[in-house]
Amino acid sequence: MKKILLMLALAACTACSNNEETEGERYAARNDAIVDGRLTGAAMHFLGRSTVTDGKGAAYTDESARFEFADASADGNGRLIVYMHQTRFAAGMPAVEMRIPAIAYTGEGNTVSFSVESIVPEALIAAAGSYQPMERYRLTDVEGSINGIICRMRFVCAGEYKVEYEGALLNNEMIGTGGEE
Amino acid sequence: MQTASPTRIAETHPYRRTSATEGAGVLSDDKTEIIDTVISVDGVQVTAIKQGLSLRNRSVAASVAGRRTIERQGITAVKELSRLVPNFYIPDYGSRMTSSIYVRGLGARIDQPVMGLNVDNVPYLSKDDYDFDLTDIERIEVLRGPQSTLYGRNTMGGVINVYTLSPLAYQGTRLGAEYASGNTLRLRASTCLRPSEHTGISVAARYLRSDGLFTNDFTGETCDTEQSGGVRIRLQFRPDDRWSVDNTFSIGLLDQGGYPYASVATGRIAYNDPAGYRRTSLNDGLTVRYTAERWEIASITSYQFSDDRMTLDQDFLPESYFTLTQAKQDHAVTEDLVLQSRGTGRYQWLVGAFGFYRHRTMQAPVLFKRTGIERLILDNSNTDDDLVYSMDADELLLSSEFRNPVYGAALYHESRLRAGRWLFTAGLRADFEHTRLRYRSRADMAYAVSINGAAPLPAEIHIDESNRIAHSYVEILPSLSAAWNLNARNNLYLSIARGYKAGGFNTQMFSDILQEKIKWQMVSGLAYDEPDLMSYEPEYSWNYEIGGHFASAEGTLRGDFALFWIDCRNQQLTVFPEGQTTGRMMTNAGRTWSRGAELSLQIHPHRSLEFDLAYGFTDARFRRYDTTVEAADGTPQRISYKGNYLPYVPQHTLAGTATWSRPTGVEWLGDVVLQIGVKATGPIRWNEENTRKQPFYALADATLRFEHDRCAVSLWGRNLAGTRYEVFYFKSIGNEFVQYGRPRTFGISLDINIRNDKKR
Repeated sequence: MKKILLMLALAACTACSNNEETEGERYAARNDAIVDGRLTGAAMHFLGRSTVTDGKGAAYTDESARFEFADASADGNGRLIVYMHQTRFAAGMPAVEMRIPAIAYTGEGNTVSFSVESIVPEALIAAAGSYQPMERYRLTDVEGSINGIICRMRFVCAGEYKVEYEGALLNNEMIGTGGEE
Repeated sequence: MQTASPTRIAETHPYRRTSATEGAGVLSDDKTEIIDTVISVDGVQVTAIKQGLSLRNRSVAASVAGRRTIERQGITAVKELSRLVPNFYIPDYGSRMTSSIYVRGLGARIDQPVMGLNVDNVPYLSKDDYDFDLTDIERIEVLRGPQSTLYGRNTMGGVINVYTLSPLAYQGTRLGAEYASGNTLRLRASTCLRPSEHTGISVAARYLRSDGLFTNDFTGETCDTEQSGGVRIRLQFRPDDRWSVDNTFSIGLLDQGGYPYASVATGRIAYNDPAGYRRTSLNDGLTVRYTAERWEIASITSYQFSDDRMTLDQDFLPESYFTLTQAKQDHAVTEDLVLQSRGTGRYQWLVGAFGFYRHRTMQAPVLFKRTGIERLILDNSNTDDDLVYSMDADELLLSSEFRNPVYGAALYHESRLRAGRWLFTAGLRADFEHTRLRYRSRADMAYAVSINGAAPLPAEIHIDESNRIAHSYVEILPSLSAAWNLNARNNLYLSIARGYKAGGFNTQMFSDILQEKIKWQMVSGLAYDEPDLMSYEPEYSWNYEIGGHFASAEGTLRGDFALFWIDCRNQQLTVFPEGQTTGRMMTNAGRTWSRGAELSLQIHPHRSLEFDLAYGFTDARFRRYDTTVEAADGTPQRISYKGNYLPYVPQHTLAGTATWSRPTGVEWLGDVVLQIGVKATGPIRWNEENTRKQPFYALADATLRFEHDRCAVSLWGRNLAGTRYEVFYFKSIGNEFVQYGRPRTFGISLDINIRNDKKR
């Protein structure tokens, strides 16, 4: 019994190992938005580290990257939308509100996973006041998973920027406004 | 602090030809050049209040120039002291707002200076006001090494003390006229009166007009024109031997072109938008002294006003990219109370209290013009067909306004103990400073964006943000020295002192931040996450020095030497933040060390022959300096400049002069003086990468002068070999620019001195 408790404690620490509680943030202890491998409709906000490596090997790291997942299921097909808030692929680049339109996912228990070979993301353009498809940011080799309170995702943007993300689920009461239309 | 009574004291200078005791004339025009500051004569308010009368007895490397040296060398501004002082370099570039002083490896292009400037004991707080024409100067002292204990902020590299003629010591009328290359005309007129035993009044006026030496090929006209003038009124009142009141009021006006920056690519100065600098300055300094038997107290109060406006064609190209205007208004008051002991006892002390308040308002709008809008904004934004931006406006204004009050207070103390041949000095200063910045940044822009080939959508950006930042600093500034006096003429000293340069705000970064905000607004409408880098901390140094003063008994040889090591921490450097190649800012990024040596010699092998030499060597390098640069492929790259030479610091400075003088035999001509000199500087690295430098170069000067008691005529030439050299280098939007030094110039000057001193 003691060994089980110790292992659970270690597992919890591992899950939080790269997600030190930042000031003002509070992480969730469990994920109620995924039940039996399906999204329940509640949005999930993750806070974590995003690492962008360009084609020449230079890396840019954002330690406060926010990803949001929303249920976009229709006609019984499991789909989700990924919002990447204030995304930057390089230090000198202005932050952009981006989203990946409906991606099919599969799931089991408290886990969902998704992948797509190529997709055109959308960026929130200030002048238009709405998300617009941006061919310049085409994403390829997209794959990701939400395993309980941990989210991992990777993709290549514009054929050059390799993005890897890992975040922990935030408590709903700690969420600010998102990038929804 | 004084070590002798204020009553008449024999001058002890070894070069005097007349009698050892002199009347009220200090640096008289009787052909005796008093170079030292061992001058304490009845009626003269020798204003060296803090460091005393004789610098050669102090543990400090100091260069002193008397009036005759100033006149013979043709020194008209503080910038020209480089001809006399080792390891002291003020490059002459830009405009009179530019007084970037580099001394022993310490220096700054912008913001806080490393050397203080005092005129008749009144401190000038802003280095933007350091450059003005000097008239009726009695003496200039340049003290090298930290003077922070006695003088406080921004004296990390030393202090320049300028003393003007006292109407209680000199009465008469002085006129001066000079015509030189560049259609340059200088006029001076002053009169010193002593209407009563106790009162002295002097009024001095100056005027300068110049067409300049450098031509802007775009306009076909010279760009470094100047017209300036000023008036100084000095009142001295000494009701008795104990009280002394001295008030100096001065006003100066300046209107100049300036900024003759040439493109490295073309070698030409060619820019289309106006550039210039205008300044109105007003200063009043009141010194009140009371001298008792065993102590003395002095109060130095000043008010300083400055209103200036700098306009720059910021791209310095024939195209219309963008211009910068910086308008600044300063009001400042200072008060310094100095209480010190008097007498000849073994122990002497000094305590002081200093306070200041300066209020600055500044407006610094950057105006993007059509070419700048197209090439710097639109070209950078329109990299793909899915988002195409357009703007119809011919101009885009980025407005920045600042209000920066600063105040501070300090208490300081110095003790001196004489033990046989030894003189020990210890000082301590506690300095408090509070600075606050209120700023407002504004920009309004209309643009349109076509998304994925659709019709352009009109949009507007309106930014109007205000905020405030405040900092307080407390500094403790100690100093220690020990001097061993072999005799009255020769000594050795060891000194350790801490210096500091005040912190400040990155006002020059605000337009860059505003541009980033606009960029973010155009793309996503998100608020730009401003870096927390609006201010920078003070810079500190520890100065370790061994030096000495020496002179032969016959007076044929005298000199000074110094070896120094400076450890500078928290150095204020301009860098790019990590990961960015935009948004240049001042930050405390570095640690440097500087080591070197100085030697000054005056040799008089014969009464008609004199040799002067001032040599300085400085090896100043980065111990730590990390920043981000743009690699050849355009990616940000983090690098270290550890071991590189500090930019803008000359490694060698050399000034040598040979002077031959003898009577002409014709009474009205007086003496003929032939002076030949060389001034050499360099190498100077222009950037932290040390990829570009100005090699060591030398300039030859010559002067033929006829000196008479009542007048002097000089014919002079500078840079006789026509050497072409760079005095400044910088980059703007990827283009390289330099300013070349003054070419070969000639001039003729006439000085008339009509004395009407009365024996008192």
